[in-house]
Amino acid sequence: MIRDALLARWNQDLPAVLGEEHPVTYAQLAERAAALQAVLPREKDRPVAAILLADGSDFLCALFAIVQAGWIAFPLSVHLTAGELSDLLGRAPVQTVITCEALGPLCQKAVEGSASTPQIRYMETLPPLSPPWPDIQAADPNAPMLLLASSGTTGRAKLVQLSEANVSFNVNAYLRHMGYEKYQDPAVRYALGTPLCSIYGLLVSFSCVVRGFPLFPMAQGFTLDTLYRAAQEHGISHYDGGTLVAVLMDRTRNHPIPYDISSLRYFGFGGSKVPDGTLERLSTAFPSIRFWSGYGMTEASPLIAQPFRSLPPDKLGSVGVPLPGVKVCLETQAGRTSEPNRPGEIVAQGPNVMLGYYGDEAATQEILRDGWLHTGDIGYFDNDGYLYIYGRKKNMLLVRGFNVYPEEVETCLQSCPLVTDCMVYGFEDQPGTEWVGADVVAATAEVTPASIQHWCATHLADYKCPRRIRLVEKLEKTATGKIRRAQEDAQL
Amino acid sequence: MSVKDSIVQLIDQENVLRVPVTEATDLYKDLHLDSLSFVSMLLAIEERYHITIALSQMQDCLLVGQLIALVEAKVKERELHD
Repeated sequence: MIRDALLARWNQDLPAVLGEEHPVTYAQLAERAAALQAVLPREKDRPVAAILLADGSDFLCALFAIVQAGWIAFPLSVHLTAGELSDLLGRAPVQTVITCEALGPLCQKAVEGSASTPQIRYMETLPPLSPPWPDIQAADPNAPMLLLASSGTTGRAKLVQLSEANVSFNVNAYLRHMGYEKYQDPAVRYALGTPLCSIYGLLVSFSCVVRGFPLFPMAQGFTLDTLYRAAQEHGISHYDGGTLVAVLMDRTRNHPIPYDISSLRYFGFGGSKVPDGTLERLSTAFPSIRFWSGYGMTEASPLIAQPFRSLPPDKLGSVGVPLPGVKVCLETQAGRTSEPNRPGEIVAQGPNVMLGYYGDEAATQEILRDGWLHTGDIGYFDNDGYLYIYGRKKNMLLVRGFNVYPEEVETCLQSCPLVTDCMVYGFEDQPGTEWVGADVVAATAEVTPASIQHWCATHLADYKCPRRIRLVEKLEKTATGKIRRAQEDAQL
Repeated sequence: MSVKDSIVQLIDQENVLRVPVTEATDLYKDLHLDSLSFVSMLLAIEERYHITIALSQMQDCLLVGQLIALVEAKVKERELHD
């Protein structure tokens, strides 16, 4: 399964994490994880440990230490502000936060502002490990193993509970779909362009550990140059992450690449739709590389569909086929269907679907109604059973691969003394890029968009901050006082 | 308009936080540009001045002063060849 995947490699001197000062081997990673596990007390009720660490070997150590100890891991984004972190820490019974000295001040501020008082543990102060190593604690594979924050449509984060069985199903499906042997990929080495704390990052990390592949996390400050240089220096063969890299590669495909990138074999994209035509152009420009898109969401741990071992050239715009064992239908006004060319909301059923939201039964019932996970995305099947994403029913923006719910930004803006009322929406300034925009009724005539933007920068993670703020005299409301967002979006 | 003024004007279009732009301004750290905005801006500069900025050079012009110096050098080089 998942929790014992790292310990199984305790004596392997193969590289596990690339891109750090020295490559970290699986043996080193397993030993450090065991050292941290040894200081997490055994408890009957599965306690929650949050991880506030940048991408890298420390993060993976903490993740495996927590799940090996039978605890629930709650990865947090280092992009969040102290206020946002405090809110999340207060939402679950977090007993410990594992962080590092560099993030200590942020972590302390977050803990001080939180309703709970978890203990802070620093990676730098782990006691040395003396044998015997701690055992992996027995845990029900259907009990929660991960808690993941997913911004909610009500403006407050929801905590997705995923079990080991959920994650294991998805990891196995992902690895089966990839077709490493079919394509005779010589030495599989992954680059990850999405944060480790996201479910996509976790899926790829767990998959790498299960198969013993080296992983180079590079989401932080990602540039194409970093990726191409890593391909030359570390022989990176596979990339998984957001669609940004596809857009960047497309824009710069006529530039000479000053590195040997012949090791690159595969690019997998998720998070948002690649702009039409991009993958076709990239496939022509880089004929030895497979460019595939998959589809999923945190609540499906995350994969719902992915190309199965191949993707015909005329299907590049699709997200592949439903994972074997996952039932996917389109919910239309006439009912649920899996017939071709009938657009509807994508709904899914299967072992990948989450246990529910922690402490939020109403929201769980809403998204899992009638036993189906309602994704909020609109799609359709073609005649060959390939799934295409068509649009979004839910009110969510995808900014640089991060989910942003307008209501969350509005809730924050409404607490700003400079703002009387506001409406948040998404806008694109070029294909494939979505940004947060806000129409704001200012509290006084002196208020400027810049002053509101400064306020946002101290209260919201950078990707949630409105890139464009328009000052307006009033916002149109419905009879019940709700903002007419749909109409405004349509106008935009 | 000089290369310097023209580049500062392009940067200002991406300057969401409206911080003052100087030659010491870091496009990532101070202006919070992401890699897509950064590359898009460089491509706009390439188009405007009919120059090519190599992928490896893109890494070395994160400071506004570095970017201006690089573009000025490339424009001069291009004018010599024309």
